[in-house]
Amino acid sequence: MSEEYEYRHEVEDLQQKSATAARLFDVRRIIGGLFVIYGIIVLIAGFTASDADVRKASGININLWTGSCMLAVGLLFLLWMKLRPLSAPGAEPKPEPARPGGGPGTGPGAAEPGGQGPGSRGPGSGTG
Amino acid sequence: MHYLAEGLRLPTNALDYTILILYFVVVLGVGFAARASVKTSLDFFLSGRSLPAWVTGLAFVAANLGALEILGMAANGAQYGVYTVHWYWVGAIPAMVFLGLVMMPFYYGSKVRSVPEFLLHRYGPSSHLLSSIIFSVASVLIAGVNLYAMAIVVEALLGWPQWVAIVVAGLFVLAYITLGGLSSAIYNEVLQFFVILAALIPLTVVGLRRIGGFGGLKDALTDAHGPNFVSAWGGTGIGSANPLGANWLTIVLGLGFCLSFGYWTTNFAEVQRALSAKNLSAAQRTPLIAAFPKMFIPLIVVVPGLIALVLQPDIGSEKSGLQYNDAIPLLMSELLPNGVLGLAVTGLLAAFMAGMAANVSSFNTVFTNDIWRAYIRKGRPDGYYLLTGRVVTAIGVLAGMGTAFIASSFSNIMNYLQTLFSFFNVPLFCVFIIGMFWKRASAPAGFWGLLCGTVAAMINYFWLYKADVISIPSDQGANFVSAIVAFVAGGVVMVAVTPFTKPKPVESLAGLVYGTTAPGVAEPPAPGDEAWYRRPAVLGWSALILAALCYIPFSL
Repeated sequence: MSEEYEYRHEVEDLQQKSATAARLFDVRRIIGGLFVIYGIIVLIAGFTASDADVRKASGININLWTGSCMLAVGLLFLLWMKLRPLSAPGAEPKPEPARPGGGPGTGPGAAEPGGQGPGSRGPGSGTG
Repeated sequence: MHYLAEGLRLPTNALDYTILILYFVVVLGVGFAARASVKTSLDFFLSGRSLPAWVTGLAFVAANLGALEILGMAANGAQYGVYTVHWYWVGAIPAMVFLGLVMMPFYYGSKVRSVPEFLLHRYGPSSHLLSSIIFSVASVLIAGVNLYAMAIVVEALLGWPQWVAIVVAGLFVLAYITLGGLSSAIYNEVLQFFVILAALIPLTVVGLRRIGGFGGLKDALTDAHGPNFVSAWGGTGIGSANPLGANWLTIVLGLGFCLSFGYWTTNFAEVQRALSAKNLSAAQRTPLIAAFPKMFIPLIVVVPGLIALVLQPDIGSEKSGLQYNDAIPLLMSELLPNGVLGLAVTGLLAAFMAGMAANVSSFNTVFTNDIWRAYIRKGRPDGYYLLTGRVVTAIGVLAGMGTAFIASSFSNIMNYLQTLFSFFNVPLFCVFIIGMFWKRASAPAGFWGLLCGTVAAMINYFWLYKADVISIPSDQGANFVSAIVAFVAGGVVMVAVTPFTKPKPVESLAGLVYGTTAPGVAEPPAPGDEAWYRRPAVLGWSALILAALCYIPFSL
């Protein structure tokens, strides 16, 4: 192989040594955790909303709605993480170990214009 | 650059600040937690090529969803009306699908670590160095402009002095990228994406309710601005005047083809997210998954711009003291009670920081790998380049902060520079696409195509348009035309130069040109990737069809 391809071996080599797959935490924990906390804070603001607050938001108690939606989204992320945890590859290098497949991993929630929900139905997540 | 009116100061309270501070803590926490995963330079620059597609896909859309984009597109909505949707459905989706289906196999399959590195292997050092340097300078500059814009917004909304906002945001970005590299940038982008949704959806819902829903919005706008204002294509016939200053041909060719393909397929700040995916299928799906949320973002960005225009009909005029860019801050102060208001402020700041982080994390990769390692210090051990990457990150952020301070006195120059750099992506796309499909295209052809295309666009914009040699009604329209000029000039020069120069040896092109395969074993697909809903072709074509369907309500 000519030296033209040396960089590819180097990348393959580094990929073998890479620690990201084994050690990087699951981002769903962060999203879920933050949204649960935010949800609770905003919900409390909703329960204690004054008439002026509601009037400002065109007659909707927007804190109540936003808070409960965020709480739900946060819980769904945590649930998704629980149901389909990352498969830990351990010390084993590539090829990746098998992980449970299936489930629509495609739908970020903005595909449903009204909802804040991410594609919390499916996996597609295992960092493998 | 825009200056927000004094009257936009938000009535924030302790609750709102709790939400904001919590976010800053989490952002930093992600950086610290991601640090353990950085062992090699590949971990730092490309997350070890190991992230799942939904994470890289959301980061791909979030890297583009910076605050300048959000405020700017809401402003375009208030100024140009429904035409603004072209930036999404014609100006983004087709290019994202093309990147995923056609270009990603070359990028990811050839194992390059950056977009300029692809140029190195396909064409050679001259075009590589040219594009690496321009990309590095542009990234730092844009990061600085971004910081400065944030400082103005934060000063108007929260009353912080500008330097406080610049220093705080800059140092947070510096800290979390130096610690966790691309992984922490990407994780924070995914988080930011959801926080932005949580901020903008309530804003849109409350705003719509205030003006009587979509029906009320449409009626009010039609009464005040005529039927073309609520139509995507009305008044865009060639020769007919419209506020955008463009016709359907320059919209489709200039914005939809040249500008958008140039931006989405060669801008490393975007492509880097896909290169960090765990296999070729995930890399291909990255821009395709991103296309679906991107398609619906006008609902929570352009619609608020239109709502602001209805609530404050004199926005953008001298009389109100409000600029179009103030559309979203105006709605925030008018409509949101404390609590959700804190979320909205957090979302805006998160978007500023993520936009800057995307620039910084792509800058450190290109500078370290494509300039330092390729031309200045070759052949050192991997740990050396990892350390270099961290140092370069710090230098890049500090330079960006410096740029932000300079920008406050030279904001017009900054705007010109940004326009100038935007012309570089289009010939870059031209050179890439010819290089991927035409084996014969030679190294000098790549370099001269790149250079001449960029210069041609600049001549067209700064000389022919600005000096009124040709008449184009608006800056936007001139941008579209310049992009077409850049693409055509780059292509013509390449075709003209190639026959007179030596071709690259065929064996050095394996995996870089259509019809060749990379040597070595292809990476095996992950189990589950063969499911129909994960097939890139299915995702890509559904995105295109859905984007076309989105036009129907605005075209009849």
